[in-house]
Amino acid sequence: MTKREKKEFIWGVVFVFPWMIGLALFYFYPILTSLYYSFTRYTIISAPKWVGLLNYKWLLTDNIFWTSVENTLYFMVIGVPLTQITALVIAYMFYYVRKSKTLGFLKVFYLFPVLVPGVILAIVWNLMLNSQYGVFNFFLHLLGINGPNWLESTYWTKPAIVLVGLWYIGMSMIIYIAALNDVPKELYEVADLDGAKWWTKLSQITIPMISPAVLFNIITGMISIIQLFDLPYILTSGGPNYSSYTWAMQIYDNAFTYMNMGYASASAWLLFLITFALTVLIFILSKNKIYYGGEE
Amino acid sequence: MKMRPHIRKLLVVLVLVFFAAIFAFPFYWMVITSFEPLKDFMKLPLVFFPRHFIPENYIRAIHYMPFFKYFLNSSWIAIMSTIGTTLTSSFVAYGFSKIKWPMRDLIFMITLATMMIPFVVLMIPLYIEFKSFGWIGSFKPLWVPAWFGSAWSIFFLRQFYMTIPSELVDAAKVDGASHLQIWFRIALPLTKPALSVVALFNFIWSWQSFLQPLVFLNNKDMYTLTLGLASFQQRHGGVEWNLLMAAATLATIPILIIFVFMNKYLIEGIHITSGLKG
Repeated sequence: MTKREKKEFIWGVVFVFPWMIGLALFYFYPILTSLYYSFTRYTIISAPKWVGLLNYKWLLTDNIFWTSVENTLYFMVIGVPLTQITALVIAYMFYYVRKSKTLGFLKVFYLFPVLVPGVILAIVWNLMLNSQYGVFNFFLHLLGINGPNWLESTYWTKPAIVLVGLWYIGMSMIIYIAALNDVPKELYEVADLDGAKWWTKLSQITIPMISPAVLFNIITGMISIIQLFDLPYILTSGGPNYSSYTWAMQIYDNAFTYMNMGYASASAWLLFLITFALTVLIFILSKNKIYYGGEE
Repeated sequence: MKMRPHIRKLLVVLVLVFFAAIFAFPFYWMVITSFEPLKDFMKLPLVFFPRHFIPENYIRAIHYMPFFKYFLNSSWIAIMSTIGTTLTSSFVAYGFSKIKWPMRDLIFMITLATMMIPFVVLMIPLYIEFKSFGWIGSFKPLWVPAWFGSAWSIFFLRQFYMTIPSELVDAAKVDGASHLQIWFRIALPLTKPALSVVALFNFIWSWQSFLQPLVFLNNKDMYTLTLGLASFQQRHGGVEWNLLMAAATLATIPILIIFVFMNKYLIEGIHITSGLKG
Protein backbone atom coordinates (compact mmCIF):
# COMPACT_ATOMS: atom_id res chain seq x y z
CA MET A 1 0.00 0.00 0.00
CA THR A 2 1.32 3.40 -0.91
CA LYS A 3 1.17 6.26 1.53
CA ARG A 4 -1.72 7.76 -0.40
CA GLU A 5 -3.68 4.49 -0.45
CA LYS A 6 -3.14 4.14 3.30
CA LYS A 7 -4.52 7.62 3.84
CA GLU A 8 -7.60 6.84 1.75
CA PHE A 9 -8.09 3.60 3.65
CA ILE A 10 -8.06 5.47 6.95
CA TRP A 11 -10.54 8.03 5.63
CA GLY A 12 -12.81 5.29 4.34
CA VAL A 13 -12.87 3.57 7.70
CA VAL A 14 -13.50 6.88 9.47
CA PHE A 15 -16.56 7.58 7.32
CA VAL A 16 -18.01 4.11 7.58
CA PHE A 17 -17.16 3.75 11.26
CA PRO A 18 -20.52 4.83 12.79
CA TRP A 19 -22.35 2.29 10.63
CA MET A 20 -19.86 -0.49 11.49
CA ILE A 21 -20.65 0.10 15.15
CA GLY A 22 -24.38 0.10 14.34
CA LEU A 23 -24.03 -3.07 12.29
CA ALA A 24 -22.23 -4.80 15.16
CA LEU A 25 -24.54 -3.56 17.93
CA PHE A 26 -27.93 -3.77 16.25
CA TYR A 27 -27.49 -6.60 13.74
CA PHE A 28 -24.58 -8.99 14.28
CA TYR A 29 -24.55 -9.15 18.04
CA PRO A 30 -28.37 -9.58 18.27
CA ILE A 31 -28.46 -12.24 15.55
CA LEU A 32 -25.72 -14.25 17.23
CA THR A 33 -27.12 -13.92 20.75
CA SER A 34 -30.53 -14.87 19.35
CA LEU A 35 -29.03 -18.10 18.02
CA TYR A 36 -27.55 -18.76 21.45
CA TYR A 37 -30.86 -18.00 23.26
CA SER A 38 -32.64 -20.42 20.93
CA PHE A 39 -30.68 -23.25 22.59
CA THR A 40 -31.51 -22.11 26.10
CA ARG A 41 -34.34 -21.73 28.51
CA TYR A 42 -34.46 -18.02 29.23
CA THR A 43 -37.17 -16.11 31.06
CA ILE A 44 -35.30 -12.80 31.61
CA ILE A 45 -35.57 -13.18 35.39
CA SER A 46 -32.79 -15.78 35.63
CA ALA A 47 -29.75 -16.37 33.43
CA PRO A 48 -30.18 -18.44 30.23
CA LYS A 49 -29.84 -22.18 30.81
CA TRP A 50 -28.52 -24.41 28.02
CA VAL A 51 -31.12 -26.97 26.87
CA GLY A 52 -29.69 -27.99 23.49
CA LEU A 53 -32.27 -28.62 20.78
CA LEU A 54 -35.20 -28.85 23.18
CA ASN A 55 -36.88 -25.62 21.98
CA TYR A 56 -36.74 -26.76 18.39
CA LYS A 57 -38.14 -30.18 19.31
CA TRP A 58 -40.99 -28.51 21.16
CA LEU A 59 -41.73 -26.27 18.21
CA LEU A 60 -42.17 -29.30 15.97
CA THR A 61 -44.93 -30.65 18.19
CA ASP A 62 -46.54 -27.29 19.02
CA ASN A 63 -49.88 -27.09 17.20
CA ILE A 64 -50.21 -23.33 17.71
CA PHE A 65 -46.79 -22.82 16.12
CA TRP A 66 -47.79 -24.90 13.09
CA THR A 67 -51.09 -23.05 12.78
CA SER A 68 -49.24 -19.73 12.80
CA VAL A 69 -46.82 -20.96 10.13
CA GLU A 70 -49.67 -22.26 7.98
CA ASN A 71 -51.54 -18.97 8.28
CA THR A 72 -48.42 -17.03 7.34
CA LEU A 73 -47.91 -19.29 4.33
CA TYR A 74 -51.53 -18.71 3.34
CA PHE A 75 -50.94 -14.94 3.42
CA MET A 76 -47.81 -15.38 1.32
CA VAL A 77 -49.20 -17.81 -1.23
CA ILE A 78 -52.54 -15.99 -1.66
CA GLY A 79 -51.66 -12.44 -0.63
CA VAL A 80 -48.38 -11.79 -2.48
CA PRO A 81 -49.54 -12.92 -5.97
CA LEU A 82 -52.91 -11.23 -5.53
CA THR A 83 -51.43 -7.85 -4.52
CA GLN A 84 -48.74 -8.08 -7.19
CA ILE A 85 -51.22 -8.89 -9.96
CA THR A 86 -53.53 -6.07 -8.82
CA ALA A 87 -50.60 -3.65 -8.67
CA LEU A 88 -49.45 -4.70 -12.12
CA VAL A 89 -52.92 -4.42 -13.69
CA ILE A 90 -53.48 -0.93 -12.26
CA ALA A 91 -49.95 0.10 -13.24
CA TYR A 92 -50.63 -1.14 -16.75
CA MET A 93 -53.79 0.97 -16.93
CA PHE A 94 -51.82 4.05 -15.87
CA TYR A 95 -49.20 3.22 -18.46
CA TYR A 96 -51.86 2.71 -21.11
CA VAL A 97 -53.46 6.14 -20.65
CA ARG A 98 -50.24 8.08 -19.90
CA LYS A 99 -49.66 11.74 -20.75
CA SER A 100 -52.28 13.33 -18.62
CA LYS A 101 -51.95 15.67 -15.64
CA THR A 102 -55.11 14.47 -13.90
CA LEU A 103 -53.80 10.93 -13.98
CA GLY A 104 -50.69 11.90 -12.07
CA PHE A 105 -53.08 13.14 -9.44
CA LEU A 106 -54.98 9.84 -9.46
CA LYS A 107 -51.82 7.88 -8.59
CA VAL A 108 -51.80 9.72 -5.31
CA PHE A 109 -54.93 7.87 -4.15
CA TYR A 110 -53.22 4.54 -4.63
CA LEU A 111 -50.05 5.59 -2.85
CA PHE A 112 -51.56 7.32 0.16
CA PRO A 113 -52.65 4.17 2.10
CA VAL A 114 -49.04 2.94 2.11
CA LEU A 115 -47.92 6.03 3.99
CA VAL A 116 -50.64 6.06 6.62
CA PRO A 117 -49.78 4.01 9.72
CA GLY A 118 -51.02 0.44 9.19
CA VAL A 119 -52.65 0.61 12.61
CA ILE A 120 -54.96 3.39 11.44
CA LEU A 121 -55.96 1.59 8.25
CA ALA A 122 -56.60 -1.56 10.27
CA ILE A 123 -58.73 0.29 12.82
CA VAL A 124 -60.87 1.84 10.08
CA TRP A 125 -61.27 -1.57 8.44
CA ASN A 126 -62.18 -3.05 11.77
CA LEU A 127 -65.15 -0.70 11.82
CA MET A 128 -65.95 -1.23 8.14
CA LEU A 129 -65.95 -5.02 8.48
CA ASN A 130 -68.06 -5.02 11.63
CA SER A 131 -70.83 -7.57 11.32
CA GLN A 132 -73.63 -5.38 12.66
CA TYR A 133 -72.92 -1.89 11.36
CA GLY A 134 -69.99 -2.36 9.00
CA VAL A 135 -70.25 -0.50 5.73
CA PHE A 136 -68.58 -3.29 3.75
CA ASN A 137 -71.37 -5.79 4.24
CA PHE A 138 -73.81 -2.98 3.56
CA PHE A 139 -72.24 -2.58 0.11
CA LEU A 140 -72.38 -6.33 -0.44
CA HIS A 141 -76.02 -6.25 0.62
CA LEU A 142 -76.73 -3.63 -2.07
CA LEU A 143 -75.22 -6.07 -4.58
CA GLY A 144 -77.49 -8.78 -3.25
CA ILE A 145 -74.75 -10.62 -1.38
CA ASN A 146 -75.19 -11.61 2.22
CA GLY A 147 -71.75 -10.76 3.63
CA PRO A 148 -70.17 -13.12 6.17
CA ASN A 149 -69.13 -12.23 9.67
CA TRP A 150 -65.64 -11.34 8.44
CA LEU A 151 -63.72 -10.91 11.68
CA GLU A 152 -65.48 -13.48 13.84
CA SER A 153 -65.59 -16.51 11.59
CA THR A 154 -62.63 -18.87 11.47
CA TYR A 155 -63.24 -19.25 7.76
CA TRP A 156 -63.32 -15.58 6.77
CA THR A 157 -60.63 -13.89 8.88
CA LYS A 158 -57.79 -14.78 6.50
CA PRO A 159 -59.60 -13.56 3.35
CA ALA A 160 -60.52 -10.37 5.25
CA ILE A 161 -56.86 -9.70 6.04
CA VAL A 162 -55.85 -10.40 2.43
CA LEU A 163 -58.54 -7.94 1.34
CA VAL A 164 -57.20 -5.20 3.62
CA GLY A 165 -53.70 -6.04 2.38
CA LEU A 166 -54.75 -4.97 -1.11
CA TRP A 167 -54.61 -1.36 0.12
CA TYR A 168 -50.81 -1.73 0.20
CA ILE A 169 -50.22 -2.05 -3.54
CA GLY A 170 -49.05 1.59 -3.86
CA MET A 171 -45.28 1.08 -3.77
CA SER A 172 -45.33 -1.91 -6.13
CA MET A 173 -47.63 -0.04 -8.48
CA ILE A 174 -45.32 2.99 -8.71
CA ILE A 175 -42.38 0.68 -9.40
CA TYR A 176 -44.31 -1.17 -12.13
CA ILE A 177 -45.36 2.08 -13.81
CA ALA A 178 -41.73 3.21 -13.97
CA ALA A 179 -40.66 -0.19 -15.29
CA LEU A 180 -43.34 -0.16 -17.97
CA ASN A 181 -42.30 3.32 -19.05
CA ASP A 182 -38.69 2.13 -19.38
CA VAL A 183 -39.56 -0.53 -21.98
CA PRO A 184 -38.22 0.81 -25.31
CA LYS A 185 -41.14 1.73 -27.60
CA GLU A 186 -39.20 0.42 -30.64
CA LEU A 187 -39.72 -3.15 -29.44
CA TYR A 188 -43.49 -2.76 -29.67
CA GLU A 189 -43.22 -1.06 -33.06
CA VAL A 190 -41.18 -3.93 -34.45
CA ALA A 191 -43.66 -6.43 -33.00
CA ASP A 192 -46.53 -4.50 -34.56
CA LEU A 193 -44.80 -4.67 -37.94
CA ASP A 194 -44.60 -8.42 -37.51
CA GLY A 195 -48.31 -8.48 -36.76
CA ALA A 196 -47.88 -9.71 -33.17
CA LYS A 197 -51.01 -10.17 -31.04
CA TRP A 198 -51.32 -8.36 -27.68
CA TRP A 199 -50.73 -11.62 -25.84
CA THR A 200 -47.44 -12.21 -27.66
CA LYS A 201 -46.34 -8.64 -26.94
CA LEU A 202 -47.20 -9.05 -23.27
CA SER A 203 -45.44 -12.38 -22.79
CA GLN A 204 -42.48 -11.78 -25.12
CA ILE A 205 -41.74 -8.10 -24.51
CA THR A 206 -43.49 -6.53 -21.54
CA ILE A 207 -43.11 -9.27 -18.93
CA PRO A 208 -39.42 -10.03 -19.67
CA MET A 209 -38.54 -6.32 -19.77
CA ILE A 210 -40.13 -5.56 -16.39
CA SER A 211 -38.95 -8.80 -14.77
CA PRO A 212 -36.39 -7.08 -12.48
CA ALA A 213 -39.22 -4.96 -11.04
CA VAL A 214 -41.36 -8.07 -10.55
CA LEU A 215 -38.51 -9.83 -8.76
CA PHE A 216 -37.87 -6.80 -6.52
CA ASN A 217 -41.56 -6.48 -5.62
CA ILE A 218 -42.04 -10.18 -4.94
CA ILE A 219 -39.04 -10.34 -2.62
CA THR A 220 -39.92 -7.19 -0.69
CA GLY A 221 -43.56 -8.29 -0.56
CA MET A 222 -42.58 -11.68 0.76
CA ILE A 223 -40.28 -10.28 3.44
CA SER A 224 -43.01 -7.97 4.68
CA ILE A 225 -45.70 -10.70 4.68
CA ILE A 226 -43.57 -13.25 6.52
CA GLN A 227 -43.45 -10.82 9.46
CA LEU A 228 -47.08 -9.70 9.15
CA PHE A 229 -48.16 -8.45 12.54
CA ASP A 230 -50.17 -5.23 12.83
CA LEU A 231 -53.11 -6.03 10.52
CA PRO A 232 -54.11 -9.29 12.27
CA TYR A 233 -53.17 -7.85 15.68
CA ILE A 234 -55.63 -4.97 15.25
CA LEU A 235 -58.31 -6.70 13.17
CA THR A 236 -58.69 -10.01 14.94
CA SER A 237 -55.95 -10.37 17.58
CA GLY A 238 -55.12 -13.57 15.71
CA GLY A 239 -58.46 -15.17 16.45
CA PRO A 240 -60.96 -16.64 16.49
CA ASN A 241 -59.38 -19.93 17.45
CA TYR A 242 -56.00 -18.86 16.01
CA SER A 243 -57.48 -18.69 12.49
CA SER A 244 -55.53 -15.49 11.69
CA TYR A 245 -52.64 -15.95 14.11
CA THR A 246 -49.35 -15.25 12.28
CA TRP A 247 -45.83 -16.47 12.84
CA ALA A 248 -44.71 -13.01 13.99
CA MET A 249 -47.53 -12.97 16.56
CA GLN A 250 -46.45 -16.38 17.82
CA ILE A 251 -42.90 -15.08 18.30
CA TYR A 252 -44.11 -11.89 19.96
CA ASP A 253 -46.47 -13.69 22.36
CA ASN A 254 -43.94 -16.29 23.42
CA ALA A 255 -41.29 -13.64 24.00
CA PHE A 256 -43.21 -10.80 25.58
CA THR A 257 -46.44 -12.31 26.91
CA TYR A 258 -45.13 -15.65 28.24
CA MET A 259 -41.49 -14.48 28.63
CA ASN A 260 -40.20 -17.62 26.92
CA MET A 261 -37.27 -15.84 25.27
CA GLY A 262 -35.47 -19.07 24.36
CA TYR A 263 -38.50 -20.70 22.78
CA ALA A 264 -39.42 -17.52 20.88
CA SER A 265 -35.83 -17.16 19.66
CA ALA A 266 -35.92 -20.68 18.22
CA SER A 267 -39.10 -19.78 16.35
CA ALA A 268 -37.54 -16.49 15.18
CA TRP A 269 -34.46 -18.30 13.92
CA LEU A 270 -36.60 -20.69 11.91
CA LEU A 271 -38.37 -17.67 10.41
CA PHE A 272 -34.99 -16.16 9.56
CA LEU A 273 -33.81 -19.36 7.87
CA ILE A 274 -37.06 -19.68 5.89
CA THR A 275 -36.83 -16.04 4.75
CA PHE A 276 -33.26 -16.63 3.63
CA ALA A 277 -34.12 -19.91 1.89
CA LEU A 278 -37.12 -18.42 0.08
CA THR A 279 -35.10 -15.43 -1.14
CA VAL A 280 -32.35 -17.70 -2.47
CA LEU A 281 -34.96 -19.99 -4.04
CA ILE A 282 -36.66 -17.09 -5.83
CA PHE A 283 -33.30 -15.89 -7.13
CA ILE A 284 -32.41 -19.35 -8.43
CA LEU A 285 -35.83 -19.96 -10.01
CA SER A 286 -35.73 -16.59 -11.73
CA LYS A 287 -32.09 -16.74 -12.79
CA ASN A 288 -32.64 -17.25 -16.49
CA LYS A 289 -35.90 -15.36 -16.62
CA ILE A 290 -34.75 -11.95 -15.51
CA TYR A 291 -33.65 -9.44 -18.08
CA TYR A 292 -31.27 -6.84 -16.69
CA GLY A 293 -30.59 -4.89 -19.86
CA GLY A 294 -27.33 -4.80 -21.76
CA GLU A 295 -25.52 -1.90 -20.17
CA GLU A 296 -23.86 -3.78 -17.35
CA MET B 1 -66.73 -4.85 -32.10
CA LYS B 2 -63.56 -2.85 -32.13
CA MET B 3 -63.53 0.25 -29.98
CA ARG B 4 -61.84 3.39 -31.10
CA PRO B 5 -58.57 3.99 -29.13
CA HIS B 6 -59.70 7.15 -27.41
CA ILE B 7 -62.94 5.56 -26.20
CA ARG B 8 -60.94 2.64 -24.87
CA LYS B 9 -58.64 5.10 -23.08
CA LEU B 10 -61.60 6.89 -21.58
CA LEU B 11 -62.95 3.61 -20.25
CA VAL B 12 -59.61 2.81 -18.66
CA VAL B 13 -59.54 6.25 -17.05
CA LEU B 14 -63.01 5.65 -15.63
CA VAL B 15 -61.88 2.32 -14.18
CA LEU B 16 -58.86 4.03 -12.60
CA VAL B 17 -61.11 6.73 -11.10
CA PHE B 18 -63.45 4.08 -9.76
CA PHE B 19 -60.63 2.18 -8.07
CA ALA B 20 -59.10 5.40 -6.77
CA ALA B 21 -62.43 6.10 -5.06
CA ILE B 22 -62.40 2.61 -3.56
CA PHE B 23 -58.86 3.14 -2.28
CA ALA B 24 -59.80 6.47 -0.76
CA PHE B 25 -63.00 5.16 0.78
CA PRO B 26 -61.60 3.94 4.13
CA PHE B 27 -60.19 7.42 4.75
CA TYR B 28 -63.44 9.06 3.71
CA TRP B 29 -65.27 6.75 6.07
CA MET B 30 -62.82 7.52 8.88
CA VAL B 31 -63.42 11.26 8.54
CA ILE B 32 -67.21 10.97 8.11
CA THR B 33 -67.73 8.74 11.12
CA SER B 34 -65.49 10.96 13.21
CA PHE B 35 -68.18 13.65 12.97
CA GLU B 36 -71.12 11.38 13.81
CA PRO B 37 -72.84 10.63 17.08
CA LEU B 38 -72.33 7.02 18.14
CA LYS B 39 -76.04 6.15 17.94
CA ASP B 40 -76.06 6.90 14.18
CA PHE B 41 -73.60 4.06 13.63
CA MET B 42 -76.13 1.31 14.10
CA LYS B 43 -78.83 2.90 11.93
CA LEU B 44 -79.70 1.34 8.62
CA PRO B 45 -79.53 2.19 5.85
CA LEU B 46 -76.06 3.58 6.25
CA VAL B 47 -75.60 7.01 4.78
CA PHE B 48 -72.53 8.52 3.21
CA PHE B 49 -72.96 11.92 4.77
CA PRO B 50 -73.41 12.33 8.49
CA ARG B 51 -77.02 12.80 9.60
CA HIS B 52 -75.83 14.80 12.56
CA PHE B 53 -72.62 16.75 12.38
CA ILE B 54 -70.83 17.01 15.71
CA PRO B 55 -67.29 18.40 15.58
CA GLU B 56 -67.28 18.22 19.40
CA ASN B 57 -66.20 14.60 18.91
CA TYR B 58 -62.72 15.97 18.31
CA ILE B 59 -62.64 17.81 21.62
CA ARG B 60 -63.85 14.66 23.38
CA ALA B 61 -61.38 12.48 21.49
CA ILE B 62 -58.32 14.36 22.69
CA HIS B 63 -59.53 13.98 26.26
CA TYR B 64 -60.70 10.40 25.88
CA MET B 65 -57.07 9.44 25.56
CA PRO B 66 -53.96 11.54 26.27
CA PHE B 67 -53.82 12.46 22.62
CA PHE B 68 -51.33 15.32 22.88
CA LYS B 69 -48.98 13.27 25.00
CA TYR B 70 -49.01 10.47 22.41
CA PHE B 71 -48.64 13.00 19.63
CA LEU B 72 -45.58 14.53 21.29
CA ASN B 73 -44.09 11.09 21.97
CA SER B 74 -44.50 10.07 18.33
CA SER B 75 -43.11 13.40 17.17
CA TRP B 76 -40.07 13.25 19.41
CA ILE B 77 -39.19 9.73 18.28
CA ALA B 78 -39.81 10.50 14.61
CA ILE B 79 -37.85 13.76 14.62
CA MET B 80 -34.87 12.41 16.57
CA SER B 81 -34.57 9.29 14.47
CA THR B 82 -35.02 11.21 11.21
CA ILE B 83 -32.25 13.70 12.01
CA GLY B 84 -29.95 10.91 13.16
CA THR B 85 -30.47 8.56 10.22
CA THR B 86 -30.21 11.29 7.60
CA LEU B 87 -27.04 12.84 8.99
CA THR B 88 -25.15 9.64 9.73
CA SER B 89 -26.28 7.82 6.60
CA SER B 90 -25.07 10.66 4.39
CA PHE B 91 -21.67 10.57 6.11
CA VAL B 92 -21.41 6.80 5.78
CA ALA B 93 -22.67 6.81 2.17
CA TYR B 94 -19.81 9.15 1.27
CA GLY B 95 -17.36 6.60 2.65
CA PHE B 96 -19.00 3.90 0.52
CA SER B 97 -18.77 5.90 -2.71
CA LYS B 98 -16.25 8.71 -2.95
CA ILE B 99 -13.35 7.07 -1.14
CA LYS B 100 -11.62 3.98 -2.57
CA TRP B 101 -10.49 1.49 0.04
CA PRO B 102 -10.12 -2.29 0.23
CA MET B 103 -13.15 -4.29 1.43
CA ARG B 104 -15.42 -1.33 0.81
CA ASP B 105 -17.68 -3.16 -1.62
CA LEU B 106 -17.80 -6.29 0.51
CA ILE B 107 -18.98 -4.30 3.54
CA PHE B 108 -21.50 -2.52 1.35
CA MET B 109 -22.89 -5.87 0.17
CA ILE B 110 -23.24 -6.95 3.81
CA THR B 111 -25.03 -3.68 4.48
CA LEU B 112 -27.54 -4.43 1.72
CA ALA B 113 -28.04 -7.95 3.01
CA THR B 114 -29.09 -6.67 6.45
CA MET B 115 -32.19 -5.16 4.83
CA MET B 116 -33.50 -8.69 4.41
CA ILE B 117 -33.38 -9.48 8.13
CA PRO B 118 -36.94 -9.36 9.48
CA PHE B 119 -37.38 -7.21 12.58
CA VAL B 120 -39.17 -10.07 14.38
CA VAL B 121 -35.85 -11.93 14.33
CA LEU B 122 -34.00 -9.02 15.93
CA MET B 123 -36.59 -7.86 18.43
CA ILE B 124 -35.91 -10.40 21.18
CA PRO B 125 -32.12 -10.02 21.38
CA LEU B 126 -32.48 -6.25 20.94
CA TYR B 127 -34.94 -6.10 23.83
CA ILE B 128 -32.49 -8.00 26.03
CA GLU B 129 -29.60 -5.84 24.85
CA PHE B 130 -31.47 -2.58 25.44
CA LYS B 131 -32.56 -3.82 28.84
CA SER B 132 -28.92 -4.34 29.77
CA PHE B 133 -28.18 -0.80 28.55
CA GLY B 134 -30.94 0.42 30.87
CA TRP B 135 -32.88 1.80 27.87
CA ILE B 136 -36.17 -0.04 28.43
CA GLY B 137 -38.51 2.51 29.96
CA SER B 138 -37.11 5.32 27.81
CA PHE B 139 -37.50 6.34 24.17
CA LYS B 140 -33.86 5.49 23.43
CA PRO B 141 -34.45 2.08 21.78
CA LEU B 142 -36.57 3.86 19.18
CA TRP B 143 -34.17 6.60 18.15
CA VAL B 144 -30.59 6.03 19.31
CA PRO B 145 -29.93 3.19 16.81
CA ALA B 146 -30.95 5.57 14.02
CA TRP B 147 -27.91 7.73 14.79
CA PHE B 148 -25.69 4.89 13.55
CA GLY B 149 -27.27 5.06 10.09
CA SER B 150 -29.67 2.74 8.33
CA ALA B 151 -29.00 0.36 5.46
CA TRP B 152 -31.75 1.72 3.23
CA SER B 153 -30.72 5.36 3.71
CA ILE B 154 -27.04 4.57 3.11
CA PHE B 155 -27.91 2.67 -0.05
CA PHE B 156 -30.19 5.45 -1.25
CA LEU B 157 -27.67 8.27 -0.68
CA ARG B 158 -24.82 6.26 -2.13
CA GLN B 159 -26.76 6.07 -5.40
CA PHE B 160 -26.61 9.87 -5.48
CA TYR B 161 -22.99 10.23 -4.47
CA MET B 162 -22.08 7.89 -7.31
CA THR B 163 -23.35 10.54 -9.73
CA ILE B 164 -21.02 13.24 -8.37
CA PRO B 165 -18.12 13.35 -10.85
CA SER B 166 -14.80 12.11 -9.41
CA GLU B 167 -13.10 15.09 -11.05
CA LEU B 168 -14.94 17.37 -8.65
CA VAL B 169 -13.64 15.41 -5.68
CA ASP B 170 -10.12 15.17 -7.15
CA ALA B 171 -10.00 18.89 -7.88
CA ALA B 172 -11.00 19.65 -4.30
CA LYS B 173 -8.29 17.27 -3.09
CA VAL B 174 -5.68 19.06 -5.20
CA ASP B 175 -6.79 22.28 -3.52
CA GLY B 176 -5.93 20.64 -0.22
CA ALA B 177 -9.44 19.82 0.96
CA SER B 178 -9.85 16.77 3.20
CA HIS B 179 -12.64 14.24 2.67
CA LEU B 180 -14.44 15.72 5.64
CA GLN B 181 -14.49 19.13 3.93
CA ILE B 182 -15.49 17.64 0.57
CA TRP B 183 -18.39 15.80 2.19
CA PHE B 184 -19.59 18.88 4.02
CA ARG B 185 -18.95 21.53 1.34
CA ILE B 186 -19.63 19.62 -1.89
CA ALA B 187 -21.44 16.33 -1.34
CA LEU B 188 -24.01 17.53 1.19
CA PRO B 189 -25.16 20.63 -0.73
CA LEU B 190 -25.28 18.72 -4.03
CA THR B 191 -27.55 16.02 -2.63
CA LYS B 192 -30.09 18.17 -0.80
CA PRO B 193 -33.11 16.73 -2.68
CA ALA B 194 -31.94 13.18 -1.93
CA LEU B 195 -31.47 14.09 1.72
CA SER B 196 -35.03 15.35 1.90
CA VAL B 197 -36.36 12.10 0.39
CA VAL B 198 -34.40 10.11 2.98
CA ALA B 199 -35.68 12.35 5.77
CA LEU B 200 -39.29 12.08 4.57
CA PHE B 201 -39.26 8.31 4.33
CA ASN B 202 -37.61 7.90 7.70
CA PHE B 203 -40.11 10.24 9.30
CA ILE B 204 -43.05 8.35 7.79
CA TRP B 205 -41.65 4.94 8.78
CA SER B 206 -41.08 6.09 12.31
CA TRP B 207 -44.57 7.59 12.50
CA GLN B 208 -46.05 4.32 11.20
CA SER B 209 -44.09 1.94 13.36
CA PHE B 210 -46.11 -0.24 15.66
CA LEU B 211 -44.23 -3.40 16.59
CA GLN B 212 -41.08 -1.51 17.65
CA PRO B 213 -42.82 0.75 20.21
CA LEU B 214 -44.99 -2.20 21.28
CA VAL B 215 -41.88 -4.20 22.15
CA PHE B 216 -39.73 -1.45 23.63
CA LEU B 217 -42.20 0.82 25.45
CA ASN B 218 -43.93 -0.59 28.47
CA ASN B 219 -45.15 2.55 30.18
CA LYS B 220 -48.54 3.89 29.05
CA ASP B 221 -47.34 7.47 29.43
CA MET B 222 -44.72 6.85 26.77
CA TYR B 223 -47.03 5.33 24.18
CA THR B 224 -46.83 6.56 20.62
CA LEU B 225 -49.94 7.43 18.63
CA THR B 226 -50.12 4.05 16.93
CA LEU B 227 -49.85 2.25 20.28
CA GLY B 228 -52.33 4.61 21.88
CA LEU B 229 -54.90 4.13 19.12
CA ALA B 230 -54.48 0.35 19.21
CA SER B 231 -54.93 0.12 22.98
CA PHE B 232 -57.88 2.49 22.78
CA GLN B 233 -59.52 0.14 20.28
CA GLN B 234 -58.91 -2.95 22.36
CA ARG B 235 -60.42 -1.46 25.46
CA HIS B 236 -63.11 -3.69 26.94
CA GLY B 237 -66.74 -2.70 27.13
CA GLY B 238 -67.45 -1.17 23.73
CA VAL B 239 -65.37 1.16 21.64
CA GLU B 240 -66.50 4.74 21.10
CA TRP B 241 -65.84 4.42 17.41
CA ASN B 242 -66.57 8.03 16.55
CA LEU B 243 -63.96 9.28 19.03
CA LEU B 244 -61.48 6.67 17.87
CA MET B 245 -61.99 7.81 14.27
CA ALA B 246 -61.52 11.44 15.30
CA ALA B 247 -58.21 10.56 16.97
CA ALA B 248 -57.19 8.47 13.94
CA THR B 249 -57.98 11.39 11.64
CA LEU B 250 -55.83 13.72 13.73
CA ALA B 251 -52.99 11.18 13.70
CA THR B 252 -53.15 11.02 9.90
CA ILE B 253 -52.81 14.79 9.43
CA PRO B 254 -48.97 14.98 9.62
CA ILE B 255 -48.74 12.26 6.95
CA LEU B 256 -51.32 14.06 4.84
CA ILE B 257 -49.35 17.32 5.04
CA ILE B 258 -46.11 15.60 4.02
CA PHE B 259 -47.94 13.81 1.28
CA VAL B 260 -49.66 16.86 -0.21
CA PHE B 261 -46.45 18.86 -0.44
CA MET B 262 -43.94 16.12 -1.10
CA ASN B 263 -45.62 13.35 -3.10
CA LYS B 264 -43.35 13.97 -6.12
CA TYR B 265 -40.28 13.39 -3.94
CA LEU B 266 -41.83 10.26 -2.47
CA ILE B 267 -42.63 8.75 -5.88
CA GLU B 268 -39.11 9.57 -7.09
CA GLY B 269 -37.74 7.95 -3.94
CA ILE B 270 -39.60 4.70 -4.64
CA HIS B 271 -38.19 4.62 -8.18
CA ILE B 272 -34.63 4.96 -6.96
CA THR B 273 -35.07 2.32 -4.26
CA SER B 274 -36.17 -0.25 -6.79
CA GLY B 275 -33.04 0.54 -8.82
CA LEU B 276 -34.97 1.54 -11.92
CA LYS B 277 -33.62 5.04 -12.10
CA GLY B 278 -30.85 7.09 -10.58
